[in-house]
Amino acid sequence: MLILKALSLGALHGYGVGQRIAQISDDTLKIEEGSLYPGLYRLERRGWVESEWDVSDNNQRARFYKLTRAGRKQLIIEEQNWERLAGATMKALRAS
Amino acid sequence: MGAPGWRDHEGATRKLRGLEKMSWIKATVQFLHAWRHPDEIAREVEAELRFHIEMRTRANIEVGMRPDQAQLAARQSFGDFDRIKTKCCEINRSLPVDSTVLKMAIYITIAVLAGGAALWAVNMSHAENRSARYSQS
Repeated sequence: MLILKALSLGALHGYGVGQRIAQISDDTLKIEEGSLYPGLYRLERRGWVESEWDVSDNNQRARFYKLTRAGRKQLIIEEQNWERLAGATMKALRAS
Repeated sequence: MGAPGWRDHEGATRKLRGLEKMSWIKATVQFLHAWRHPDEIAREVEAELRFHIEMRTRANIEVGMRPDQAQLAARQSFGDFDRIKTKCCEINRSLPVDSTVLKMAIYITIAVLAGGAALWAVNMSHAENRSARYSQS
């Protein structure tokens, strides 16, 4: 969900995805850098993310990822599921 | 605003905007491509992972590390390069479906088609032998 969220803000290469997740979570959530890639590949397999080789800001060849329409829908579903789960957990914790 | 190169790449974004097509067709094409050109896929995965380590190394240098320290730290924070590379290649070669039932159906279909093709080939060679025997007699 975090990868989808990061890509919902625009196309990024893998390194950029990690940076953006750290940025939007105020450095609270840090994914182990290498493990990001199997995650990205799985999302691409599922059709939620597309990739294309291009040139990065520093003129190096890099693979850029972008959310697909299906990925955008999936992100909405996952956000709703997460809110439900977080809400239910909070309710359970507050129960006396 | 963090390390270099994480911001949107406008050129890439523009190009990618045209790629809003569905994806399982693309995933299937990629799956077939990965099986036909495993070396090319492995090279691409490696290039992508090396790019990441290079970006991390640069960021480490920017915060004051010596280049050798920066590279070592980048490799350490990345994790096991070979294991991750192998994993990515495996995912590329995996069927572009999640459902186990669907995967089974695909494997059975492939097996049935392969069996049918083998039977057809055997029958054809028998038929040719028979017709050769008739024409001799």
